[in-house]
Formats: sequence, structure tokens, C-alpha cells
Amino acid sequence: MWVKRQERMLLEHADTARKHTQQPHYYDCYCLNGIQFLKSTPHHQQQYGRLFGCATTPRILPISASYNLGHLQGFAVSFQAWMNEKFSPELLESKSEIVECVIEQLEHMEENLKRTKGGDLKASIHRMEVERIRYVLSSYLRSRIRKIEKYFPHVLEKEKTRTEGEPSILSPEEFAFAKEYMANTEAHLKNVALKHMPPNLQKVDLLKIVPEPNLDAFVFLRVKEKQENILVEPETDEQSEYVIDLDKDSQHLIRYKTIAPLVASGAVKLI
Amino acid sequence: MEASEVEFLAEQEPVTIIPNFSLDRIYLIGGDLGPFNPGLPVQVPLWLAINLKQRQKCRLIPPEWMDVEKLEQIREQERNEATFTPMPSPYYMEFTKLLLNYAADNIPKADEIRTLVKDTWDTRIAKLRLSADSFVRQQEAHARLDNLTLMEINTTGPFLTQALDHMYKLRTNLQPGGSAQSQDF
Repeated sequence: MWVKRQERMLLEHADTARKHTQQPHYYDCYCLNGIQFLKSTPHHQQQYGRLFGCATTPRILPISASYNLGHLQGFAVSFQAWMNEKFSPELLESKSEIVECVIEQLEHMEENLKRTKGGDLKASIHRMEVERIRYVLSSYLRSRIRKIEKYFPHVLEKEKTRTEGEPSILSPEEFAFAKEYMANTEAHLKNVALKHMPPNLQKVDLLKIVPEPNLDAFVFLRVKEKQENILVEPETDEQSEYVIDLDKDSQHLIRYKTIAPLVASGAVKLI
Repeated sequence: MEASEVEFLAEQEPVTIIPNFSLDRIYLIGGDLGPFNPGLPVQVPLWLAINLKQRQKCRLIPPEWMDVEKLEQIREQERNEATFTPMPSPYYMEFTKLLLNYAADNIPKADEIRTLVKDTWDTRIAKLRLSADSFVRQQEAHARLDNLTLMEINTTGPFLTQALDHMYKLRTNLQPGGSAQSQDF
């Protein structure tokens, strides 16, 4: 499924590329950061304009696209998804939109890099950037897979009980992976041990034997939007619960459970 | 998160260089860079700056705070106050290390700067250990850690959080039903 989609994406690129070499085009400015970039409608055009050294470099250079802003804001989104996933004890909602957008841009850039000669300074800078982004992307996907492998029955259970309209925490590919992993584990347990057991002991409940994600884990976080009245549960019986405010840009050490919804909404980021 | 990954994040931060080559504006996925003209300062991310420096294609301009006088002030302030003082850059340690390793010839008084930053770092880490200790002793459920940088958090973070998790497990397992049950033989 994954490969097919990649193929389709590539074909689409080829099409737009063909179109663009035929007609000249002009841009006033374009938005460079990851996600906005995909959402704005004529994104293929924009994307093409951003490529280097090809015949279709835009005639009018972007006005507002300074590296700093574009860079920090744009990658803040994907970098943050990466860090949140790294630090949170449970599997977070899949950011497949960002992932796809990043993959799309990488593929595109790599296609173009193939056409250039090796020793060019420009090409080598591009190549370095591609490597860096690829690292973040694979590290992100890997940390998700690690969690899926660790908590697969719970992940699948959550997916089953999910109501219509609620966004899935798994991408379609991850869902297929989790299901297969579950089936394989069950088959393995059966073949190795269970079928040699007495009949009344042949059942095993994976939900019970695989540990759940530890939501009580402590995490470090940084506040992006001010939050008031967060209830902190006491550690011991002698202490009583109390309420704290999370000021913007302040940093805290607290139980993940307390602030899990804020991570999902993006009001805080894990560090 | 490992130290190398924190350094990776620091490398995304912009720094000013003076190139000695010319190159048109380039359109990276993360934003635009350039144009590069010999002798004209331009901002690039640190990873590129270091790479260019290694190829001897540019001179690095140290950030404003990387200055002996300013750093001395920061060090004194850090020593005098009980809490963490704000740092000039969220990646001050990584910046110092990378710049001094790869571009020491572009930074005046590099050795003094190295010592000053190291002193500040040591003071801060000592404070961090103390506060982590009191956090654990008092069994707090929440701590505020303003002005701590990512690198500082990550030197003690993983160990501290794991220790807290273990203590929590031990405590919660003790409470229900007393402790004698499994000890009886």
C-alpha cells in the first residue's frame, strides 16, 4: 500500500513538472514552511519554484522568505512532532499529514539531485539538508514503531474502541503493521508453547500480559500557550492536591497523565 | 534524548558567517539562504556554517554573547543567585563547543571563553543536582524549571525520570494490603 502511494505521488510530480516546463510562471511570494505549504492550493507550483538550478526557477524571488523565519517555523512543526513522540510514554496521534508532506518534498529534492553533477557546492548543501531531514523523519517513525511493538494490544484496542470521526492514532501503514505484529505474536506463542498446554490453559489474553504504557511517567515540558488551573495530584497521602498555572515559555517537570491532553492539543511541548 | 540529538537541534539555529565565495540564493526545504557574496555577512544554520568552515569557505562571526566580559557577568550572576539565571542562548553549551572546536581561529580569546562557559555550566549543573535531590526528598509532584536549557535537562533528565518512576512503582505496590503477604513462608 505504501509503495503504491509513493508511486502515485511520484507520478503526480512528474506531471506537474512537465506542465511547468512548458509555461513560464511568476510568484509574488510563497510560504515555505512544511505544513502550510502543503495545504495552500497550488502547492505543486510552489514546490517547483523552490527547486534549484532548473529551468523553471521563478523570475521574481520571494520577498518574505527569509531563511530564519521559514526555517524555524516550518520545521518547528515536524521537529516538535519528533520530540513529543520521543518523550511521551504513550503513542501519540499520527502526524501522517506532516510525514507525507516531508516525504513528498524529500523525494522531489532527491529526484532533482540525481540530475546534478556530484561536486557542485549547491548540490552538496541540498544533499546535506536532505540527510538531516531524513534523519528526523526516520527517527520519528522508528520511535513510533518501537512503541507499537511494545504496546501493540493496547494500541489496537484503542483503535477498536475509537468512535467514528475521532482521528486515528495510527496511520494506515502503522495499523497494518500493528495487526500483523499481533497476529504473528499470537501464532508464535501458540506454536511454541500454547498448543502443548492442557486445553484449559491454551488461551492467553495479550491485553493482560503486555504491559500498558506508563502514563504516570514524569516528563519535562515547555509551555507554548498559557494554561490555568492544572490540577496536580499529590505524591503521598499526607500531601493534598493543588492547582498550578502554566505560564507561557515556562518549563516544568510533571506527570505525563496530568498534561496529556495539552500535548495532544499542542499547547505544551515535551523536552 | 541523547546529547548528540540535542546538538543536532542546536545546529538548526542561525549563525552569521562571512563567505569567501559567491553563490546565488539557494532554496532549501527549510527556507531560503543567501545570496552569498564574498565579504558580505549572511545568516545560515550552524550545520552549514560549520561545514563551510571546514571547507575553508567562510569566516564565522561569533554570537554577541560569546564575549569574555559578558560571559564573566553571566558567570558571576549564576554564582550569586540561588535560582537558574536566563542564558544568552538556549543552546549556549552546544554553540560554544561547536564553534570552539571548528572555528577557534575566528573567535577572540577562545580559551577564556571555554573556561567561562564551562564554569557557568558546572555551577548550573550543581544547582540542578541539588534541586533534583530536594525534589526527590520532598516527593513533589511538580517542579518548575525555567531557564534550564535542553542540554542541561537531558544530562539528568532520563535518569531522574526513571528513578522517579521506579520509586513511584515501589510506593504504590506497597500501599494496598500491607507488605507482609509475600514475605511469609
